[in-house]
Amino acid sequence: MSKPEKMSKIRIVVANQQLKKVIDKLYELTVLHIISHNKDNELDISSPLENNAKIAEILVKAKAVMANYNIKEIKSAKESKITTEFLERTEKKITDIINRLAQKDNEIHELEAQLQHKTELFQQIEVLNSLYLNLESYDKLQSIATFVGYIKHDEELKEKITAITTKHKIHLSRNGKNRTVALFIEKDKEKEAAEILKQYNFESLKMDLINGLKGSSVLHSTRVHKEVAAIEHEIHQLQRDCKEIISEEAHYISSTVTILEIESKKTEIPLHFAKTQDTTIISGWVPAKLLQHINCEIEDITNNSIIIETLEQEKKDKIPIKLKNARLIKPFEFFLRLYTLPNYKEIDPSFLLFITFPIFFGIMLGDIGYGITTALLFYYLKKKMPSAKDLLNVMIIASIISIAFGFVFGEFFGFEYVSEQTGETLINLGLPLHKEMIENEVVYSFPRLINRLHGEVHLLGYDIHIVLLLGVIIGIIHLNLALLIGFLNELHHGIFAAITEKLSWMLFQVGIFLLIAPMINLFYIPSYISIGIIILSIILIYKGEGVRGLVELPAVFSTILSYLRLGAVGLASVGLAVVINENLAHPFLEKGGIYIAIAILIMILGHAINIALGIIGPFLHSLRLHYVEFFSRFYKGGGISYKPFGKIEE
Amino acid sequence: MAAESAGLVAIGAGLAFGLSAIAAAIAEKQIGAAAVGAMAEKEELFGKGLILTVIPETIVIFGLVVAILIIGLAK
Repeated sequence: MSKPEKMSKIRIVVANQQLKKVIDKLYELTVLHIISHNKDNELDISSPLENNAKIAEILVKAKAVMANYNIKEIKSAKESKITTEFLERTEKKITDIINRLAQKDNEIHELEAQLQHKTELFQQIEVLNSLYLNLESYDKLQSIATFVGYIKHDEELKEKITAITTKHKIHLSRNGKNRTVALFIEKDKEKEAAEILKQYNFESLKMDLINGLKGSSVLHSTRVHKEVAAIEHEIHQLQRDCKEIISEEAHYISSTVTILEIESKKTEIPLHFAKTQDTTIISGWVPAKLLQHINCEIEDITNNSIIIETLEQEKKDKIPIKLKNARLIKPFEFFLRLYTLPNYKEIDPSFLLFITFPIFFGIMLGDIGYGITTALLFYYLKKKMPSAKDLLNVMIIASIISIAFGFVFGEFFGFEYVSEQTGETLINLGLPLHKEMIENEVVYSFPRLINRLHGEVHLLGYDIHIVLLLGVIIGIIHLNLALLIGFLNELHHGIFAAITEKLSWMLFQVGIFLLIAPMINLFYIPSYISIGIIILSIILIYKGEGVRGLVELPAVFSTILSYLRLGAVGLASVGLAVVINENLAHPFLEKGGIYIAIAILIMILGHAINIALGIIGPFLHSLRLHYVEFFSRFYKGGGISYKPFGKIEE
Repeated sequence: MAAESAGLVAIGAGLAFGLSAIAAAIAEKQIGAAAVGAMAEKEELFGKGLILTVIPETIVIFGLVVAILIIGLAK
């Protein structure tokens, strides 16, 4: 348990000609959480370093190429000195690449337009071809109307057309479901013919491209087909060229982008600084223990011609929070980031989450088989999704604790015991099972400390499951732990405030316990003492928290009872597992033969669902117990995250 | 007679659990919808939204515990 890292507020005053050097150093050190300067009457905002505009321009171009051609980013690049010549060279090269690509692209576009034209021409020729017509027969004639297109069917079409006039020629062809028709008819009858064709859902084809062509449609068709193939080949070739350029230059472009992005960050950062005529003022937060080191480093590169002062922390300062936890505990900071970071004066509860979150999860899931499955699942996911590493590390720890509680409850995929024959085989394998009589049958149970499904204690006239009672006991411990931390957090407001706000609640619980103790025959204590303690605690609570505290009095009970879920969620999970094994799968197993396969299928499916529920349920409930019941007693939060300048954001 | 009263106990337990689950569902429905709305505006609210959404879960847990206690009566 520790508080967040101690921070010092510093101010660096640097001469403008040394600013670049200092920024480079700060970037390299990655320690300074910069406080942005707002323009005021005394000091203006500093301006970006030279080359900033140029860098931005090149970046935009290079990034556009990356987006257009799906070039992947790379994380790290070889550092190089960014000089004006370097930038000019880079810009020239990038522009050159862009031009080469654009030229190829233009050629491709032109060819694609040609291809479109030829393809359409080919289709039109093919229509006439399928009707066995020569191209010149389509020539527009003044006295003849022409219809070419598709129709739905051709029943009695010829007859109907003949009925209007005999002066016509009709060509029909079938190609699968399609019917193609070409009708040449005297101009006077054009309207009637159109009417008739309408009944056949006539769909006119454009035949604009073949005007002027003469000769056999077959010959033209072969020629155009060849041309289309040639254009396609050419386009293909150009696309290959483009790809070649990209694969040659991809590394250059992406590494340039990476280098320039860093440089762009550096050249832009003065916008957060304040300036006077000749100097720039940088202020920010650094971890206190690094202060000396930072001073030395910066003074070194500037030959001591720099002022670094440590400023007093003010009340209104928003101090960035850097949590310091051991490697094993670090993943649990995830839950704080999800909720809110602690403020500077608070205890960082990551360590407590590390202790209790997996235990709560474990008590609820509590099954050797499920624990092993989820541990493997999360390990696999961790390899697949490195970005969710923190959460998955937490879940792996939680799964391991689940296995441990699986041993406590003696459960393996919901099985608490096995039949006599299986049991004897397992004992021969060296497993420590013990013989038991359940419903007049000899079975072998797994060793366990607590029977989750059937273990009960007699209390206040009820038979209560041990796990539920366990939940309540853990609840009382957890709640008081929260109050204790709250007490420590409040100490800086004075001992009296800490007692009335936090310890009073503990006293209240003691009073209630002393009141109940005689009722369950634990020990005898006169009730006026316990009632006196309760009244005293209520007065203290009123002093500390006012009316709100009095209203919240029953919340102590509901908070403690809320921990019943530790047992209840587990009971639901094991209940479902037992139903899958005994009520669904077992009847099939007894029938034997092909039914065994069905039983196995039911078990796989059932347990898969139960594991999915068993991850979501315990995860949310455990998290909720921490966020709602635990944190609300002491945790204020509201800290802003420590983001030092230079750190590459993941 | 014994079977009848056992049946009534079972119905009682079922009601205790089922009704509390419905109550929690109604409560969570509204909170959940509002939380998702808030998250659409500001993604960092996920943590707070989650907490607010699961607050009524307690009702179900109480229901389940009461149901278990009622079943205990039948023994």
